[in-house]
Amino acid sequence: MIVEGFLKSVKKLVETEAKVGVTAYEIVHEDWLFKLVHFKDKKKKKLKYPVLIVYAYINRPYVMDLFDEVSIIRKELDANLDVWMVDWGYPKPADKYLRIEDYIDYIDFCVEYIKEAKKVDKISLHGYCLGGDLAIIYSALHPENVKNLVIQALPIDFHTSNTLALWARKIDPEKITKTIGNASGDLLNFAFLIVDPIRLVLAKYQGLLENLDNEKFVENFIRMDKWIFDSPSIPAETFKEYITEWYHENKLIKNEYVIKGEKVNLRNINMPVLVLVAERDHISPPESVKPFLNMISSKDKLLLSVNKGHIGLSTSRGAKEMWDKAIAWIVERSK
Amino acid sequence: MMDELEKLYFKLPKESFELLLRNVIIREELFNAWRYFLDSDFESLERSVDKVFDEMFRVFFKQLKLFGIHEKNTFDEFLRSYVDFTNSLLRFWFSFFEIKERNLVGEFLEYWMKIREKFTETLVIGLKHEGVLREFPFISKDAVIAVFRAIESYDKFNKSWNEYKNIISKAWVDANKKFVGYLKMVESPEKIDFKDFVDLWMRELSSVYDEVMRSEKFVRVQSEMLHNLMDFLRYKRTFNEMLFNYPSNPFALKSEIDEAYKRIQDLKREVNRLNKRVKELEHKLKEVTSE
Repeated sequence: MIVEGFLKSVKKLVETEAKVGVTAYEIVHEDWLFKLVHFKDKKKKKLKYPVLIVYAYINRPYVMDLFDEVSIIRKELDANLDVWMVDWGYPKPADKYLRIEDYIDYIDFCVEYIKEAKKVDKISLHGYCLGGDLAIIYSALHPENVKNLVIQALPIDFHTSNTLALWARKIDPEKITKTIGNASGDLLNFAFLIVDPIRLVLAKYQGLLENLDNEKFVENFIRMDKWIFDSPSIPAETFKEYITEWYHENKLIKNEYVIKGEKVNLRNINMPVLVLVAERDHISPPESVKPFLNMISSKDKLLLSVNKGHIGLSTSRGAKEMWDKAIAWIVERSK
Repeated sequence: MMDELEKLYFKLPKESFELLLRNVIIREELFNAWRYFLDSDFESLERSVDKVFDEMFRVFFKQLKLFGIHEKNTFDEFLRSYVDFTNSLLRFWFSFFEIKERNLVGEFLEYWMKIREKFTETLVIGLKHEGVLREFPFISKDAVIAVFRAIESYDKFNKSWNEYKNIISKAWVDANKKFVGYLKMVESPEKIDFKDFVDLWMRELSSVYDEVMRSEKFVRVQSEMLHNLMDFLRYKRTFNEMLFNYPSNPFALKSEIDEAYKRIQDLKREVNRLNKRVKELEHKLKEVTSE
């Protein structure tokens, strides 16, 4: 009976339009794997200081532009912000020796590129999840280039008690990467599913089967699943580095992390900082980022939170109020 | 109908497609379980939820099983095809010269496959026999050690894999015992509709698995399983590379390609550094000439 009911709904599922990544953009620079993109907007008059979105090297950045109603990119563009983004691409076996310093170098390249293109002396950085860690590292090394720092859903204190952090502290990344090279998208998908198998393998899909007649529900479900399973590999050296130095040794929050011989000192972060937190985040729990605010020397700092999960922070209609405040904060400091 | 399912396969990520179809079957079993609950047939209810376990965790177990049960058969096929390949190459070349030459690689592999047909213990004894190293001196000591280590790691992987499965299935049994215990106390079963039944069941399972997934034992066993699997694959690759590491082999080894990748990445960093330096100098030159 259930099977027959489902088979009747398959056509509806096939016909559901579920586009992702709705805002047009132009690729302005490519560096083999990495790309700098510039979002297009009809408004000619933009606020003075552009925003560079620094996404994570896990999953794909279009979660910030999932569909019109919730797109953060769209919100920023509508607020007259000039929005750019780094796309870290899909690493291949040939990219296995990329290190975190290579990501920081490319952020630096993008910052200088945008500064020159827009004739400004600094730009704002908006980091998402591990991209937030990259944005923090860059801001600590080059505070003179950063107008405002916005970070969302990221861990910076990695010694937290959430399941994923417990697991990461017990794996040997050198052994893994010596064997399989890059941490493949399949391995990451496996880990992210088995960390919560009942909710992510059972409850989620039972919820879909319960709501097959709800067109909007089905549309959003398909969009989310497209994104969730669109997992690039993590380059082997990057995987080894961040698991060892961040998850195992927690060097970032202890000001012990070193990039190209230079220590990353969080006290160097003196620009306005906005931290966005999801209270039910099982990947980057709130306690993993709250200590950060006491480590920086910024006078102008704010934390906003919403009662959502890691992904819901960016994709839920229920986060609108928080995003309205966040965008207003950025706009005020971008004139 | 098959056309539509095929279109759905191409529309969704492969993981979504599989999880969706599995959940349709799971939902059918849950519906049966709910009907058994309404009839107070708790034995049949438990049998239904057991079927759900197999359907659900096969998603995870089959990925790890690939390295276990099927590995031996696929490796034997690989060896057989490689023997055929080396024999046919030699026959081709020496047909020009009418020379009979020993195919040392092929002979070793045939000897190896005979030993593999026996049990693991015999395999280790066979390899330790001096004759192997005298007869096939081109096999490096590292390669022989790699085989021993691969066998050890494979054994350890199998042990931790079984322990891993046991922890997960025990959690399932415990959670469902609690759930059935609760259901037996319900005074008016007819008031619990199918949706409520499923929600209650999943809540019970979630609370048990939330604890199990973060328990010290599970985390340890999972890490051990993963590390033993990595060791096994790595030692196997070392030995496989040995099979290809001779002068007339036209194929690059993985370790050689990795070395090339490393050099390319190092060169790229150097080029980027120089580009940045050139830009800085151009900028300084501009400033100086404009003054």
